[in-house]
Amino acid sequence: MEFILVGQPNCGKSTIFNEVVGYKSVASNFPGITVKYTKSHIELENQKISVIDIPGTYSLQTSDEAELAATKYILNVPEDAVIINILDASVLSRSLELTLQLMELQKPMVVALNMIDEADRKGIKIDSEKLSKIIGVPVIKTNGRKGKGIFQLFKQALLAGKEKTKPSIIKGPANIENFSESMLKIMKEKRVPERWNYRFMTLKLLEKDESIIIFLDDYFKKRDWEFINEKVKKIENIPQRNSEFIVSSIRHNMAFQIFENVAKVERSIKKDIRDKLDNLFMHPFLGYVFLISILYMTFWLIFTIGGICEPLFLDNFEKLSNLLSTKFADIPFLLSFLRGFVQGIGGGIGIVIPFLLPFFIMLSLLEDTGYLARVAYLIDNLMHKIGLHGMSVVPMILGYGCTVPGILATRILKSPRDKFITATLTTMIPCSARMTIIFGLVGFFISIKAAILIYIINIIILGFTGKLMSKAMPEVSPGLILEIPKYHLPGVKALFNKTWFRLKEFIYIAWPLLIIGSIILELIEHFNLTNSINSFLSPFTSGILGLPAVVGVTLIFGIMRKELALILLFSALKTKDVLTVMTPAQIYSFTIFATFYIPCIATIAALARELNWKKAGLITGLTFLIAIILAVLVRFIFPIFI
Amino acid sequence: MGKRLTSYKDGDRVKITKIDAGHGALINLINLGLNIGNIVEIGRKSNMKGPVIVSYQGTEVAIGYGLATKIIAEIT
Repeated sequence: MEFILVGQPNCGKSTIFNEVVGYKSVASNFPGITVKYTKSHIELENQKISVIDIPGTYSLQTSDEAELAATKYILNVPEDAVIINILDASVLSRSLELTLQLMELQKPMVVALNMIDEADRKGIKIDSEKLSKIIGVPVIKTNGRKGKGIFQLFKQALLAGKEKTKPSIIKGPANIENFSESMLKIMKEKRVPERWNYRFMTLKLLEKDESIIIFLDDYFKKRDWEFINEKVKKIENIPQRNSEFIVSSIRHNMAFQIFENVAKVERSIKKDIRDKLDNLFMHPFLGYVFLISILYMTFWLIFTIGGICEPLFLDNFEKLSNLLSTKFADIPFLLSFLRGFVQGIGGGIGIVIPFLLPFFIMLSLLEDTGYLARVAYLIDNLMHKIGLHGMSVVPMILGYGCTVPGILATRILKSPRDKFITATLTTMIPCSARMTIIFGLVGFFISIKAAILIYIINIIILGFTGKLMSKAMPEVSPGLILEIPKYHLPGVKALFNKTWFRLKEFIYIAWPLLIIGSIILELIEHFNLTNSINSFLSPFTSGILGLPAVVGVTLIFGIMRKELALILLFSALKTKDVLTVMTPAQIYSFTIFATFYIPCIATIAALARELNWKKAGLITGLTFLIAIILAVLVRFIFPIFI
Repeated sequence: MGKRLTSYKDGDRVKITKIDAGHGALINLINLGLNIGNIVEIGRKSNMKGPVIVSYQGTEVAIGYGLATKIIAEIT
């Protein structure tokens, strides 16, 4: 048997899912696209059940890849599947609109009135038995965060699956029903597969949901379509409105009627501190003060933790590396190989535990409390100036931690163009590895102010690049439409799982490449290729960038692992006192170049996966070009100011 | 007479009469309950052409300024 969790965003679906399945779940992609769903298995009354958590969707009326994927998935589920529809009981009327659409599918189903505590707080009393009678399937009150009612919900789902409890059919106005009847006839005649519920398909015809209607093209001929279009026009004629508005209006009213029927609002909404929070956090001026303070504190915390932990790991791996040197001194090839391997492992741990883990925990915290949606709101008009909108801020913030999860997060954006531009900008944001170069070189040898200036230059360049790209790819962006969720105390399990999922993306994609990169680097040294690479690159490094030729190989290394550019710079220059061999201008231009140039191989892999190889190539080329221009500018402008 | 959503002030209760957006944005708005005929309350309009926040039945939705100018509503 298969349980499919369906619900609107912010309904607490993931909290319930995590409560039930824990960390064992696996994120998978819908075939062909990069919208994720999560699958896991549970055992209930000696029966093995797959539980599937599909992305939150406001309706089955599809407007983007994620919703389409979700709808197609639900439409084609196996016979023994049960839909578990999770509702946010505190916004019951709106939540019921999705329920009504799910009911049209006529598949076994149960309904969870989640966040029932929140509804109580608002004084909304819901008669779940009455609701169950109206919609024809079991209704269970749950509180996902406290784990209340969930066991009963799953037990009812199992029962519904066995007994094939199907929802009632709620009839609409006569003209819609007449249309539906004639459509039923046609579909039967044309042998449209019955697993696509005819009534559901009929409503899809009225909704003009092209992505679903297209399924019917295999069965209908031109004449049938003409007949259908004529009928649709007739329906549209009466209120003089497009049929997609009509169907959703009817549903909206139905949902409201059911709500009025089953719920009583006993007192006006009791205001609590959460309602006042937004007067500060979304204030036109104070909001930004809080935003900057919260982001500053987040980064401060991460780098403090990281600063304390990092040396501990590095020391131990250095010891291990030394141990290897004495053990395998007589087999130099193997030694280089092993040393590279250990450094790759160590480098990964050195990034994950001190920086990425605290970063992702903090970010999930900001996301799950509901603050991140406020950030998108605050930053929206700024983002519009570069042709994007508020949602793009999430991948970009992630990018300050590690570019790979940042790139993968661009999948929350609906338009492919927004995704491409945001991915390009995210690639250019200095990740924590690049931060070590900026602060280790410029911060240490020039000044902290000069290091911070790099971040400011970076933001200005991001602005220009974004502006140019959106000019080059003009498209009316649909703009921001974002639900501002109520503040919530995040569930610990959901927080943990979200952090783990993001970390997994680093571990599975970036880390293996990091290890391979480290091995290659050791082998380059083993075969004494350093000098030939340096002299090969010298027309570029010395000629164009005006840097010492020995930095050539460090830049190649930087493509494998950004932070290696710094470590290897010291060994290439044969001193840690960089100022004796490089001028401040050279240091600055090297750092700027290292910050912007070719993304690390893990990032390129992520770009190819999320966009495609061509776009990954384009982004790589673009960042390389920007890096050269900036580094050359610094080379000639910097000396004027010093 | 209907005016753009952006021309109302905080606390106004308005009825949506027309949406001039493309199909994608339209479906998004409808899905979030912003259909023609629905009544929403304007809240927290930022003065710098930032998003407009509308609320109804306990849900708050931020709508980008550009899109908000394409939604026509009248006061109820």
